Amino acid sequence: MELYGVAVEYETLAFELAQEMLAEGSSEVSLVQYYRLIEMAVRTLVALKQRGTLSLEQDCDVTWRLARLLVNETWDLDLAETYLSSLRERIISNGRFIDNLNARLVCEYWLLYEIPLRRDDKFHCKIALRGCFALLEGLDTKSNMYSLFKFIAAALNLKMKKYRRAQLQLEELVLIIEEHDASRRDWYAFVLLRYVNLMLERRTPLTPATKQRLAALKCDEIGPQLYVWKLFLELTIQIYKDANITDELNKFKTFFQSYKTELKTADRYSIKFNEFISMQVQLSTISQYRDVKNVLLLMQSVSYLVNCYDPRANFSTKFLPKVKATTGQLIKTMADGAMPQSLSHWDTKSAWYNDILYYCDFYTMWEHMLLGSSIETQQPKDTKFWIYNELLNAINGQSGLSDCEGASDCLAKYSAVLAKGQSAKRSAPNEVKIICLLNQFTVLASQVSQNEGVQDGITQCGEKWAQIAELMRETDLEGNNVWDCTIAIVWIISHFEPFTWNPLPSTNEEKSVYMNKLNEYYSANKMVNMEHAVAGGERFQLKKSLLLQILLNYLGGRIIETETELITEISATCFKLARRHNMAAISYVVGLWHLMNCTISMKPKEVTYTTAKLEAIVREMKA
Amino acid sequence: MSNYPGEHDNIPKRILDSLQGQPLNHLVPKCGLTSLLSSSVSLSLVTPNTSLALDPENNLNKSPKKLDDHHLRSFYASDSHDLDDHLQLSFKRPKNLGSRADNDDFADKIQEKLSPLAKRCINIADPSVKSSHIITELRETRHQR
Repeated sequence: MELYGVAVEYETLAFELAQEMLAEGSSEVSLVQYYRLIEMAVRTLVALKQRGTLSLEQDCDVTWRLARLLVNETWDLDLAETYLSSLRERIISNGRFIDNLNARLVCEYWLLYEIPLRRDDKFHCKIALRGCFALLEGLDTKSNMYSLFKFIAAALNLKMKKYRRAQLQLEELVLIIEEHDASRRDWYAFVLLRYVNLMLERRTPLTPATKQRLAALKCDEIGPQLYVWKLFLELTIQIYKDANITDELNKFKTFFQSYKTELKTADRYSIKFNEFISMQVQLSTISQYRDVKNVLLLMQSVSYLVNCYDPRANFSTKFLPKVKATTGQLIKTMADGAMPQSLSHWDTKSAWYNDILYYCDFYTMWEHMLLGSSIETQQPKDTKFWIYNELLNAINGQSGLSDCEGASDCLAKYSAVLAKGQSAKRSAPNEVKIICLLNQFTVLASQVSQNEGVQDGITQCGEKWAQIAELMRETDLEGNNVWDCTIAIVWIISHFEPFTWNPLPSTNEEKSVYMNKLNEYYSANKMVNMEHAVAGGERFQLKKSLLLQILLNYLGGRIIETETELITEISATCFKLARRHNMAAISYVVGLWHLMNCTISMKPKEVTYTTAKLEAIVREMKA
Repeated sequence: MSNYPGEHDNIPKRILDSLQGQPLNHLVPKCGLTSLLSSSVSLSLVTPNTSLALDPENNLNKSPKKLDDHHLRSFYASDSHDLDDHLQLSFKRPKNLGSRADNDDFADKIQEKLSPLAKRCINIADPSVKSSHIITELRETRHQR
């Protein structure tokens, strides 16, 4: 039995070495030495099982330790499965063991969750899911083990990308815990947070009840780690709406004042189920202060991104490089002061940091696009970012597009993203789909306007629009002013005469819906001195995204305003803004409108000035 | 406006036409951020050591057998039946960690840090881990061995 201690010693030493390997970079020699120790730990445990006469309790300890090593350090999942299954048999046939049920459930946890999740195929998950439901049948629905395995069922569905089912199961589970286990706030909070996180990942709208549950989580009940997660989710909800995030940032600030140190010390979170079983949660985002700060800054950058139309005066231009530099630093120092951990744990954490680096690059390129400079995308190392990358490529390809051939190329690129989005392996998020569809729609509608393939174009526009409307209904994007307003604008300019040569067919009802929206957004955001800003306009306030402001004010000025003086003021502002940013085609159209307004209001100086500017734009466009 | 700049040129004159070459780039995809929040989550069940005899600090064994080399040799002897002919694991090769050239003395370091018993065990069992056993992906290795 002393040899069990030896196995533990090998494992511990290996983890200590892992830390050194992180600091200095791992060489092939050190990798081999690391796994030599792991192999010794495994062989010692295996030999103990084979040669020793282990009591059932001892067998449990040896087997679980062995399983953890095999699952985390090796690809030999079959082997782990064999040991665990035979231990389970032994437990079932031995009734004397006090913690019999608990011990059996620990085995089930490994067999139904840890191992299937690590096999990268649906087949094993399906079998595990069946096993999980069979197990649930036999458990008391009020017990906390029931809720643990209910959670596992949801996790398996998630792994198989059955999102809707997983969402439903988690939602149900939240209610179950609330009813039977209300005192266990940490487990309740964990499931609720996972549920909300999943809903947000899918951009599924949250019910008011869910939002209330989220808001009701208290830091002193659930601990700072889970509370940070809650703060992040509430921040995301605001960012998703393109709303002001000052309040959320203040909440973080207040929180940091009291809990900063606690986040520095803990790198895992433990949820106790009973005397025998507790669950350890490791989640980078919530456990370390330095990671929390870094992710927070990334989220802030993304929130400020749409505002970006001045390279010197936007937060994102400052924050994104900072996040990138900090992340590089964190990768180097991630093991500092942490508990010794398996090499594969650090590998996973590095992968997470690499994701952050990818998002930094992605949003930096997006920012360049907003600022009107051309970008060059690179194929990311990780194929999971394929969709984001291709989206950037397609959008980049549309910029400055002027001929028919280019248009069909560009449509094809968007279609490729959408088509990949349908394959199960990499499904495009709904928001990406809508972006593709809307851009495709404007390209198609403008082809119709220019008399290119009119009949076919009209049909296609109708189809795209139906898809956009359907996706918007399914997502929380309906509640986002920027998106909602954009859709109204795109609809109006493709269905009304002064904005297109060939208006698409429409009903009166549609017309009044979109015109109403335009009215509301325009009155809350018009670019004239704010004295006549409508009261209660806050509901329709938009972020200062440049293109949107120009389009909205152009439409408002043309359709809604009646006073020449005011109209000219608006057209002057629109023209100035458009010219400042590489949007030649838009500048030209807006400029023509401004020229007309100046002529009408008899401003000869302005007329001369605007004509000269327009001539310059024409020269540029013909070049 | 009898004539105006660009009147006879083939450039977009209506706002919809000008959007053909102007993507709606203020619509920014963001759901990756929430994936980032949860993607690193890992769970593990922990149980207290139920069997005190296994507690390395705690020698409950009635009479700890003297573990001589002969004993250890037979303990590690490779006659196990549920692992093919000998224990040959395939280990996970890190995909995201930095690497550097071989210039280290890790083997010595290990020898220094191990307890006498652990040192004897590793010398007797002498596990032969090779680079080729450390692989990046799960594959059907069982049949190939």
